[in-house]
Amino acid sequence: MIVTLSAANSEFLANLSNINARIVQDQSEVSSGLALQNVSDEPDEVSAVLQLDARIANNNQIGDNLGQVATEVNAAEGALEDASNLMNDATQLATEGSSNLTGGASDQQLALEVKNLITQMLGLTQTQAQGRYVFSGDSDQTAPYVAVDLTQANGLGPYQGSADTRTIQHPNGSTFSVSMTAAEIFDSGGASTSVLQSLTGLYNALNSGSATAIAAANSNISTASANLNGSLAQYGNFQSEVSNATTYQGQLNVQLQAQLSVLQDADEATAITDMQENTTAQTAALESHAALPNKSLFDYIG
Amino acid sequence: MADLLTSLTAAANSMAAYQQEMQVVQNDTSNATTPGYVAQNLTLDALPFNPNGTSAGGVTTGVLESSRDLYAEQNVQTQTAAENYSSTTHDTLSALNPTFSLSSNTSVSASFNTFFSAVSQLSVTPNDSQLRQSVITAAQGISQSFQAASQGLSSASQNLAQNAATVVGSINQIVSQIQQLNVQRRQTGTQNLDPGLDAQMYSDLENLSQYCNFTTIQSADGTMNIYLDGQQGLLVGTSQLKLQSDTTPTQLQVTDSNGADVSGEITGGSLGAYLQAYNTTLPGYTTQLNNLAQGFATSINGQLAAGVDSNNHAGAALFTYNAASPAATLAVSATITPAEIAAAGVGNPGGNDNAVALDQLQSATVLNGYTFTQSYGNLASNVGSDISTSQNEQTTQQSLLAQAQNLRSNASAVSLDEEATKLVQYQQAYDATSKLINVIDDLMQSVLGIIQTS
Repeated sequence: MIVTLSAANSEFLANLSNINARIVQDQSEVSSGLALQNVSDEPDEVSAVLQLDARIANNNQIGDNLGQVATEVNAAEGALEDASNLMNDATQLATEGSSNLTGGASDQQLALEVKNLITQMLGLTQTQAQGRYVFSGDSDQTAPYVAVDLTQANGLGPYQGSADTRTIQHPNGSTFSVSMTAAEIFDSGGASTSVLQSLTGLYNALNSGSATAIAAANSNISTASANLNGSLAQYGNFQSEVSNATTYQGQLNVQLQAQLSVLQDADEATAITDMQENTTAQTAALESHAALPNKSLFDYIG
Repeated sequence: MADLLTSLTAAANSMAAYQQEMQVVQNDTSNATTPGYVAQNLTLDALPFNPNGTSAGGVTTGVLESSRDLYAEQNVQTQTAAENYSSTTHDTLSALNPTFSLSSNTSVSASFNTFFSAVSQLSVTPNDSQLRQSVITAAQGISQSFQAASQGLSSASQNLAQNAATVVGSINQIVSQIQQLNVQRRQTGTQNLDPGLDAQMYSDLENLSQYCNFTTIQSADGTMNIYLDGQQGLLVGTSQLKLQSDTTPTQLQVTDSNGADVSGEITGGSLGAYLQAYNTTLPGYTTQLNNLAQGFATSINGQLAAGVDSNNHAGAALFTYNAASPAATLAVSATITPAEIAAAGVGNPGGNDNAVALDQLQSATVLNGYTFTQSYGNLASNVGSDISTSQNEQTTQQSLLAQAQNLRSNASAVSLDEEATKLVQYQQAYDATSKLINVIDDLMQSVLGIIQTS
């Protein structure tokens, strides 16, 4: 006994529908390059893919952040190199003052040059990058020192910035510092270690004409200069940390993209092969159905 | 002479029987593709025959038997209900794929990424008012994403309720048709069951099985009684119990005309799928989405409250929501200004401590051991898994339904070859009997000739 046409047809149509659905899926994978396009494609992988997307977005943003930070650190490091040069000039002036036998007017002239150095040092403390004062700590919209005021021990007056500095996110999830305050760099410790106080001390010593005071100031300039170079070295470390973090960020991005690719990307060769197989199956199904016997015994009666 | 006349009468009766058989063949052939129709078989009964007596023999027709296999019919109805349940579930859930799109820039997960990128950027330059505004804009994007996802689920529920109402109407209409057939069957009785009425009955039952699961019991008077799984009668004799659908704030209900909730008895067919999706599946997704929205807003607001804004004031809340439906109502505070974003830690105004802490929430497992993105991923994964499962079930059910239909066809469908064979068989018998009549006629003419010549 043969089956009725309706039952056979419904089964054929259901099977054909399944084949067509597989072809559409294969074609979609080939054209998009993605095996995972809908949440129903690979449900077990969805959460991992979204988390990787989030990590990649976060990592890329940290990369952008590091680029911005690198600009600021480089600007700060350049300012400290200039400051170091100013301290060399101050050392030269102090040495000249120590060896000045004429005294009086020459010392006054040297004092004016030291004052000019202090003014330049003020400008360096006000170094900005992308509209921010790089030595003001968290108060980056405020200049760390406002003006030269030689009545003050440091020649500039009180530090206006914040004692705290920002920390920057490392791609590995930790944070690290990338800046120092102007107070730490230019005015830490006492007269013998502070850049600003040693310069002001030299200015006052030259104005006083006291050889002893000038010699002491010269010594302080030397010590403060060494401190300043320490800060400069610290900024070199900051540059290195930012550079290492940027390198790490790039490597991590490659790793994350590779992991995402494994989960999300289509195996093009497999998808194309599957599509070919399913297309062949579709053709076979259609041809075989068309070739089904369409006659019955009635056709041979009479 | 009397024997010849008896044989002639018997032959004529036999030809009448063959004519009836050929009528059955004609009816079977004509209805070979009629929904619900099954092959009929008219039995032939041999008549008493005694050549020495008065019994001339011959053949007469017996009862008209239906080849319907009730087990096969019930199996098809059961598998039809199961297949429609899985296909309807798959169609319903597949409509949610765009709501949880993996490639959309406005999905919840993509909005999380945009928001935390804005926060991360702010952490580098925490006093930049434009970046503060960017954080607020990104937060608005998140609230819109949650609202869109919630709206997607809500729209799906509304569609389910409308579809359920349509299906309930179809069920009532089909049961009403069967009720009319019951009236006719009661009139004709079980002994003279009309194949056409029977075909309509089983065609209607198969149509009904697309919409809901049920069981049938045929009464002695030939009427068909239809019961839901819990034995709630949809049709008992000629008494129909009409259904209606209704939605409460949280539930889709199917009630009978007495107002009794019969939803629990409908576990198959498209109506069963609508009830399951509306009452269980979609609310589950909504709950997960609400928990995520509330957890996210609470965490962000909590972290902001731990910091200070540009004016060294305690951080203001960024998000607001209605606890009854957090995802649908999640919004950015209407009063917050860029300056009120608490990027700094307490005691360090102008700093970025709190912005960093806020950004680190992206990778923190603050929601039952999962990050925000993982929580959303779990929800999307659940949706995807349900869609995938329903697709697999649909494929399986299609196969089972095809098997059931084939089984039924093998048992009771009209076979054109078989009908043609019967036709040839009865034609030959008819021809042979008619020739026999010719022979008897010749014999009788011979006998009559003897009389004339004698």
